[in-house]
Amino acid sequence: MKKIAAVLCMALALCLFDSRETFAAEKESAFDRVMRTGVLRCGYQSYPPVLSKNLQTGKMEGIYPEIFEEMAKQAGIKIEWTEEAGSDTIFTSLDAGRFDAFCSPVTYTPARAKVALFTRPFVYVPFYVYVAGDDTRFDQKNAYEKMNSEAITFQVKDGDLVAILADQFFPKAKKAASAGLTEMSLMMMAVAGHKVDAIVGEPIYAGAFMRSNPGKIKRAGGADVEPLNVFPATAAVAMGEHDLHAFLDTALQGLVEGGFVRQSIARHVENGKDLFTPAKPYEVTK
Amino acid sequence: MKTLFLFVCLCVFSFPAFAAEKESAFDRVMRTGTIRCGYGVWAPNVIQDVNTGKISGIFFDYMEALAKASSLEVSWTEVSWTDFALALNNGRIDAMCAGIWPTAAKAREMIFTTPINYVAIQAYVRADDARFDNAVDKINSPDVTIATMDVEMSSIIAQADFPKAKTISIPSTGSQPQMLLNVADGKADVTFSDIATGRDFMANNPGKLKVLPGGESLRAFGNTVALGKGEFALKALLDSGTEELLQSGVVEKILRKYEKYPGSLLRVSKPYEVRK
Repeated sequence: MKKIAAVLCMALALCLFDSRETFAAEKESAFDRVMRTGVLRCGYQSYPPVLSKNLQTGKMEGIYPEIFEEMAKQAGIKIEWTEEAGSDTIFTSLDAGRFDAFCSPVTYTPARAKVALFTRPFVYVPFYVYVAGDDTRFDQKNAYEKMNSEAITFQVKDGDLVAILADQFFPKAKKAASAGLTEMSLMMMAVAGHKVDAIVGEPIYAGAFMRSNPGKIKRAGGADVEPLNVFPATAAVAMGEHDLHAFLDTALQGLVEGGFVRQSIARHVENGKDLFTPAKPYEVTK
Repeated sequence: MKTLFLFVCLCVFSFPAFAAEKESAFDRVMRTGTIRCGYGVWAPNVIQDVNTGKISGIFFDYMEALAKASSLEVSWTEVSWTDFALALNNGRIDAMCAGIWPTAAKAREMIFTTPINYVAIQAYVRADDARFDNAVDKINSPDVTIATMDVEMSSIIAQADFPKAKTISIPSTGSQPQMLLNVADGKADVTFSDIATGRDFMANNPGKLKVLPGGESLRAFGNTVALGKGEFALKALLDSGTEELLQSGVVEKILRKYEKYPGSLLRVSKPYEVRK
């Protein structure tokens, strides 16, 4: 009898030992946390007019905050703008669970696809090349081809996308680098003053500069030239968070297809062509 | 001794660690060779013959074609529009195969396949009412009444786009023609409906309503299949099959077969362009 009791006690001990992991709380997914708390914790990065923090009111303003607040309203949750992230900390912060989603414009790359999940783009950011207003060398459509020359100097910013694009598309051209925090308007002023020949930039910045400084800079290749590159702007969640990714992707596409994204861009961008919206996913048969 | 024995048995058999993990919808479909489709009647996506009970429609043909291409079979089960999310997530059905419009609210409880077509929502007013012609914003006024249906898209659009307007709402068990009738009868000033339903109503009630100029496309929704939360493997299977049916022209043939009013079903854009 004692033997049977001993065997049963051992079975019980083994059972309890094996089930420790069962009893240990499984790590809660970001989606489950959002649904449980009713709050989506957003990381962000300033990128006016797409996203900026009003320093007087503390409120987030711009296209992305409007889109995320509307999405949250329709889904019955709230947005908490948790913390600002630098370009170098977005994905480590997501992975560490410091926020549930990065709710600022972020583009996907093969390297980033290894560490995060990205929604479908809901805004596209075009990049063009700008030259001095009185520089007629690059007025033709083949401007980009002509600019890839050792005789041309591009203004770039250390570690910035404009430097990456200048290197990628104009490898032969010289580069004059400014420090990473240099204002874009100062760099455009260098082009206007013929200190350099050209700069790669977004029309949301260049357009504002041109309105403040009429005739000082212009788009290389003419006003109707194709963009040098167009970056898809998405939102990101941590790798493996498929439920939250699916939720955000569906909810945000609803705002694209319902016209809310287009309306928000129109509210914040003076020239509607400075930011692109996704093409309609449907066509009308005749 | 007996108590100890019972206790140990309870312990061993009740721990979830020993219980089989919940089978995914994908694994179940692969094991049984059958996709269990839920449906609700909603022409032209799902049509049911009242005499024979036989079902047909865009989503019936599409799912049968998709299953055939995947060497699977479909079994059809009618489920309520109000609790199909529960049916998906408790495993009563594998998919809701009736043309589900993805929204932020639904995305809390389910995921969606790639759409096979889109449906535009238009604003309808009385034929002799010119107050809102090319001035859709004027609907957003306390003097205006919108005919809506509880929980349905009409109430979501009314709330989101025209929050100042009043609403007269019918229960979620009602139908879109009832909302259109409320406008025609003067109980409301405007309502929102898909093109096919709107044109059907206007054909049966000539001269009563018109599509509001400027309100031809307030929203466009993808017609999708809904799956339970987290069922990404089944989504991948259905998405691949759907792409094949879209590119091979099978979906186009199905849409043409059921499109009573040409132009009422918006096609999915081609994902490529041909260089000239």
